[in-house]
Amino acid sequence: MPGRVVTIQPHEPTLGERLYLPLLQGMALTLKKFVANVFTPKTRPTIEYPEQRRQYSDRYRGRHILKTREDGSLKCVACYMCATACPADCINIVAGEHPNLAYEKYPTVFEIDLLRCVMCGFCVDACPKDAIWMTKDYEMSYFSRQDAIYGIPELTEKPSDTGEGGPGYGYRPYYGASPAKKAGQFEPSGLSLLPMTLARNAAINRVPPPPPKPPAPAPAKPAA
Amino acid sequence: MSATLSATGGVSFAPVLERKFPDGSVSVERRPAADVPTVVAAPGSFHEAARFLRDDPAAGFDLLLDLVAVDRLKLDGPPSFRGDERFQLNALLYSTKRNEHLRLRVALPATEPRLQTLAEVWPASNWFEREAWDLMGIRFDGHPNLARLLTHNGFVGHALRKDYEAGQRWLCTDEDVLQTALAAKTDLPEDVFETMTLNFGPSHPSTHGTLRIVLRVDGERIVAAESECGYLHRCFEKMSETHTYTQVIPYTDRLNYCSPMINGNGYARAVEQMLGIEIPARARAVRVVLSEFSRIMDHMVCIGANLVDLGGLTTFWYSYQAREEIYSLLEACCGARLTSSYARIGGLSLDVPDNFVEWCRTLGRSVTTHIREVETLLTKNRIFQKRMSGTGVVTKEQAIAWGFTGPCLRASGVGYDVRKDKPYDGYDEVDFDVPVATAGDNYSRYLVRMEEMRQSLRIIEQVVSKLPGGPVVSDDYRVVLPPKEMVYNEMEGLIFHFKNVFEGIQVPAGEIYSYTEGANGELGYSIVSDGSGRPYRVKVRPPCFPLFAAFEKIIIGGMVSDAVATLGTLNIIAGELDR
Amino acid sequence: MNDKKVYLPTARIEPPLAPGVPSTVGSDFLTTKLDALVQWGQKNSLWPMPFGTACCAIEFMSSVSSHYDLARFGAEVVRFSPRQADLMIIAGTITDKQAPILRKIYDQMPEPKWVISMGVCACTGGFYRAYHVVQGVDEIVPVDVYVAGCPPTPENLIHGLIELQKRIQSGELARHREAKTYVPIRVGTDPQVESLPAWSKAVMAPGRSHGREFPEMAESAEAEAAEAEKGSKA
Repeated sequence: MPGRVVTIQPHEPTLGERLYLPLLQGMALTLKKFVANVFTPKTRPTIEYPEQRRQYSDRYRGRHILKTREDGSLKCVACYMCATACPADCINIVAGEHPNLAYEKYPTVFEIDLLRCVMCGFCVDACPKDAIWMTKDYEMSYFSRQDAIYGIPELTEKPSDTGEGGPGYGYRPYYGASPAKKAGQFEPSGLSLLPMTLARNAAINRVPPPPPKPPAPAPAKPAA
Repeated sequence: MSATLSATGGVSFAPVLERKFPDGSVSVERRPAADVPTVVAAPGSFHEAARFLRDDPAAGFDLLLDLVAVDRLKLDGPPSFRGDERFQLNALLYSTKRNEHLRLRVALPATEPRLQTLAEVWPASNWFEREAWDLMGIRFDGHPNLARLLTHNGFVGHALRKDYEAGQRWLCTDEDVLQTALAAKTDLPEDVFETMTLNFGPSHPSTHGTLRIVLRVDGERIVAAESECGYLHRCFEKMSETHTYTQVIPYTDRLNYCSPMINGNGYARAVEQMLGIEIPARARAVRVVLSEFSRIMDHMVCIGANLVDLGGLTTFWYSYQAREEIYSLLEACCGARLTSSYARIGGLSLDVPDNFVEWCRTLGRSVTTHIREVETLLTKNRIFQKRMSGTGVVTKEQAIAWGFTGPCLRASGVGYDVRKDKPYDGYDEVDFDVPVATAGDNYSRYLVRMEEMRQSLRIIEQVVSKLPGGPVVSDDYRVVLPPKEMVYNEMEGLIFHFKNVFEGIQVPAGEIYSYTEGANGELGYSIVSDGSGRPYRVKVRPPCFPLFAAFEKIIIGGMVSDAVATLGTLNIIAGELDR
Repeated sequence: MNDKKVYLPTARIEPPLAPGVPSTVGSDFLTTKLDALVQWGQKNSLWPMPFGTACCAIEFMSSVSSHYDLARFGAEVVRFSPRQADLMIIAGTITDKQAPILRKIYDQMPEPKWVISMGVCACTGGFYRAYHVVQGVDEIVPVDVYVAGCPPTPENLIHGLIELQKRIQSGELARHREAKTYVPIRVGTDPQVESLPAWSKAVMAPGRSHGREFPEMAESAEAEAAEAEKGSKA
């Protein structure tokens, strides 16, 4: 078997161990920690929730919010991508027709059952309209199952969620598949996906890709 | 899959096989190089082929890894898939001497699929056969106790068959729970005055999770035992058939919930091998670093929880400190502490934060401190030594016969570590040791885990010091979601995005067995694809399944408190065990 | 939901506390103050019985560890014996096999007792819409607080605990339990559950996409299956 293998020999207890002396070392360690925790509160590892809160990163996957355009309407166009991407099937959308042809649809009903949601963030990844983000809000406890079904009023982005004093934005659409790009950048990379699309269409539609151009015909050779 | 097919299908002893089975009933099947070598047997010669593969020195497959049963009813193929060859049973084998994997296949008919049991050939097959019976309905003649394993006794039907609805539930009453084969036996051994039958679990503080062992005790000594699982059978395999490949990733997080990254990485790696795509070097390196941190987390929980059962609460607090610090790192990378869902087919979902390298180094130093603290409390502690040495002994032959892998196998003297023997993800470029102990008792398993944690820190330091730059995800947009700038602005980007989300990744039809080193042992994924966006069959080879199956044999003759200590060191994680 | 096989749980109807005896005998000053004192004591000494099965149990263990320390709320004594506990925290997925055991443990707890359902698997079944998973422990035991998250962070669990404590102090929960005899959810008379939308309750059913009703997709799936059969017979 390749690789370095280190054999741990069966342990024979030494005289010191048989006299229980190393226990004193262990007890000294616990005593040291005890004294440190009692007399120097700054080194205490305990986060005293609810007075102190742990600082989560900007990628924390908490409660969802629906983002709005400048005029206050939801960016969501009820395309059902988040509902399809969700492994827990916890998003319920009913689409309605939007008078503005550029938007075409809007959600009349957009509900997330937070007691089914596994906080995976796939809905954020799947949204093509930058319409659903997640916040750092994790305080979700309810007294009935109906309370946990959040509709458009509860989900729409509010200053209390994302402004001063609120939990703040968490998981948001990242440009993760962008080659050599860091998260959050939005420069156009000049990449075009057209060649790949043509090849893929050819494969899916079972249409053979356009044949390579035949080489220029060689000058006729006399028969041998 | 990669194009090259090996000449003999990768089976080095093919000539010996042909001589032994001249009628061709057992033959080599040509498989792509990414998959394990495969031998196909006719149902009549399956048992003989199994014996040959175990005993013949040219083959020498002494370790049974897994039994995968596939129902080919809805798979594209000849009409026999709906008739005479509907079921397929694959036995995944490993040879500890020759370091080779093998798959042994047989096709079984739709009505009354039966096979002779492999229990005399590989004792590890006991529970795997019970699971195949429970979930697929394949009968094994001669099996000592062919009862349901994962579903409850009131369950009707075989859940993983393709004609079984995913949502069909059955009521379980009290009577269905109480009786096991052992509890129903009333005979007593000759030399025992009186025994008592005790129930150890399934709601018990020392059975980490929902495990149940029925014990027949004579005083404190265990005379007979039977372990039972299935109390956390969450139907992972059926859920993976009804979801797309990417949607299975959150489910994999919940398999071994003490080290979630490793499961996700293993699954993503299996699908990437089926697709034949390469992930960027940075993604590989980050996967390795986070897998090693997850391994450290898992060992910390194992030791901490083990000590809680033995009465030493302090270690639990100290080991959880290390775990919380690693949680901070994971949360900064992917957004969730425990169930990360960080891996994607093709790489990772997001790039790591800017200060990843410094953070890993600082974390390595603080985790070293925590490991040292745990060691101060435990390793030389005479009380701990007395409780753990000499208890729960598993000899080398027993470990191989029972299908052990991982730290428990290494503590019994076999140095099989997938990272060293079948390197993946760049583990062959990293320098680390594999600790192996010979005593096979609880104390050795503890020492092996402690040493593995230190070796994981070594790996992390080496990988992080030369962390490559570049993208963290493949640029094949048929498989990964395109960058958001393209999705928002370009039609092709939107189309790729749309197809990826709605139809899933179109994995070409085929199958694979892909394995990595989980914290508990070899974590294998057998995936069968039918060419659509959803997996046709996903079978997880849980590392702790053979461990718990053998538990009832390990504790016989010992005391009840030793059984508790043994259960802790085996590190049975119910999410992985029951799936 | 599949109507072919009817699922009837084993939960018994819980009797009201001492029928005929109201919780507050009259409403004079002394007894309300006594009630308040008792409720203050109860809320600050909730001894949890962690019925931990899966990943949420790991987060529960994090809550009782030094980083978050549930002991600050009086939940120091984590008792695994139901006879000595008054708060059951169901942390993790409950499967059909585990359901009778959960009910038995719940019945063994003495009154007054409260139940926190931690994590989405315990609350609703989570994303396991499957053949062996209980779709919410309120099929089996009455739940007081549902804590969402997969797994909920320890702060979330503590938040749920604090909400429970507030309601214990106000007496709302004791009164609530007395007034209502608990009827298991599937028998269909619990108004709280009837008002839940079907798409939230659905377990995976055939021909549907993820349990949601897409009749056109179901039709096309059936048509495809019929075609495939015809094709295989031909």
